[in-house]
Amino acid sequence: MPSVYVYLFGTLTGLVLQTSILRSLIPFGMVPNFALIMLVHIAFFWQRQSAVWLVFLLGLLVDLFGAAELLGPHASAAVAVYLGITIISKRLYMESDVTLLVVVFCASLFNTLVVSLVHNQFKDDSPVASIMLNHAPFEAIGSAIFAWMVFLILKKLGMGKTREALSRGLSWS
Amino acid sequence: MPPISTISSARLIGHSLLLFFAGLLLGSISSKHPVVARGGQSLVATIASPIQSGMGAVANGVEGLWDQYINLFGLVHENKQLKERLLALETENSKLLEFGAENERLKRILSLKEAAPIEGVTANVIGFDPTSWMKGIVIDKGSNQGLAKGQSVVDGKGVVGHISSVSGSSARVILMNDHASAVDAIIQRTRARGVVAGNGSRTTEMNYVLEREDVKIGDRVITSGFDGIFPKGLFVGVVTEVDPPSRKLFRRIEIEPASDLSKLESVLVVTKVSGEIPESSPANGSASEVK
Repeated sequence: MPSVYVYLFGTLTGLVLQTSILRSLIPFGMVPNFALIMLVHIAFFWQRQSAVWLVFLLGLLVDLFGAAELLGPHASAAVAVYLGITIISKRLYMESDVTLLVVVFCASLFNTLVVSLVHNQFKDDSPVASIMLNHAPFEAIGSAIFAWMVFLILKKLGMGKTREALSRGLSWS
Repeated sequence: MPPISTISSARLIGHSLLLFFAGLLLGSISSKHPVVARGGQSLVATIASPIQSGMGAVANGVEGLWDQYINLFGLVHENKQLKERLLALETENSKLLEFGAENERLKRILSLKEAAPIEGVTANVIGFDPTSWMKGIVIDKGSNQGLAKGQSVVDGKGVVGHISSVSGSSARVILMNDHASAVDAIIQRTRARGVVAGNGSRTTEMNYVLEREDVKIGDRVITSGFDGIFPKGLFVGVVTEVDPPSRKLFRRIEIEPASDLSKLESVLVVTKVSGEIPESSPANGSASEVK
C-alpha cells in the first residue's frame, strides 16, 4: 500500500481512537497525539518533496476533529514540527529507539506550544503557560509511549525498515 | 515524487514556510468566519461520529472488564471455584450497577425536565476533543434531532457547556471549564453578578465580581440568563475558594462545577425555555440533593 494512504489511514484511525476509547481509558491526560506520531515518522522515514503537504493535511485533520471553531493552528504547527525534525534528524543518532521517543516527546511539546500560540493569536483565550505546564507534558509522555508501538506497526508494514533515506540526506550545504 | 536526495533545503524551507503561513491564513479566515470551520467540522463529525459511538461502546465494555479485573485481583490466590463464582457475580453486579447508574442519571435529567420549564433532547457522550487542554465533548444527537449551535447543555446536576457546532447526527459541546467558555452567573445568596470562565482545569473561576460583594465559601452559583445562552436559574457550581479582601477591583473566586465534567455520560441539550426556572427547582441545585 502506498505510504501516503497508510499515513492518512493511520492518522484517521488514531484520531478516532484518541477522541473516544483512549480518552476514557488512559489516565492523567496522557492520551497520545497520533497525528504527531505519524508526522515524526514521516520526517524520519518518508522524506519526499510532497511530505510537507501531507503533514499539513494531517494537521488540518486534527483541526477538523477539534471543538474549536478555528482551522489552521494544528496544520501550521505540523509543518513547523516537520521542518524542525527534518533539520535536526541528520544530526541525531537515529538507530536508537530511545532517540525516536525523545524526539517524539520534544516534538509534542513544541507542537503544543505552536498550536497554543497560534490559537492565542486568533481567539485570545488560550493561556499558553498553563497549557505548557499542566497539559503538554502528559500528552508528550503519552505520545512518546505510543510512538514506540506505532513505529513498530509501521515497520511491520515495511515502512521505516531501514534508515537508508536518511543516509542519503538532505542537501543542507 | 522525487526522493530525498533531490530535495534542496531551500525548497523544503520554502514549501514549509508557504504552508505554515497558509495555516495561519486559514486560522485568520476561520476566526473571522467560523462557518468555514463549522462546515469542515460538521463533515468530519458526520463521518466520524458513528465510529466514535461504536468506540464509546467498546470503551465502556473494556472499562467494565478492567474494573472486574481490578476487583478480582486480590482474590486470585483464593481457590478457583470461588474466583469463578465471584467473577460471575461481579459481572452481574457490574451490569446491575451500570444499569442503576444509568437509571440514576436519566432520572435526574428527567426530574430536571419535569421541574423546570425547559424542553430538551437527551444525548449520550460519544467522544472528546483530540487535545487534552481543550475541554470539549461530542454527543450523539445533532441537527436531525433539533439541536443548534449555541444551545445550552446541562446534566442532572447543573450546567455542562454549550454547543459549538452541529452536524446531522452529532454535535460538539464546549465544556464550562474550557478556556473559551464564559457563563454569566450570579451568587444565589447575594445576587452578586460575575462571569464563570473555564481555565482548562477541573475547577472554574468566577471573574468580575466586585470586591465589595459578599461572597463566602459554599455559596451556590446559578446562571443569570444575561448571556443569551443559558436560561436563568441553572445551577453552575459552589464557591470553594475566595481571595481575602484586598485593594483590587474584583475578587478572585474559585467555583467547583456542579457536574463532574470529566465523567459525563448523558446530558440534556436545552432546546426551549418557556419561563423562569423557580428557585426551588432541581435545575438550580436541588437535583443533586433530591434522591
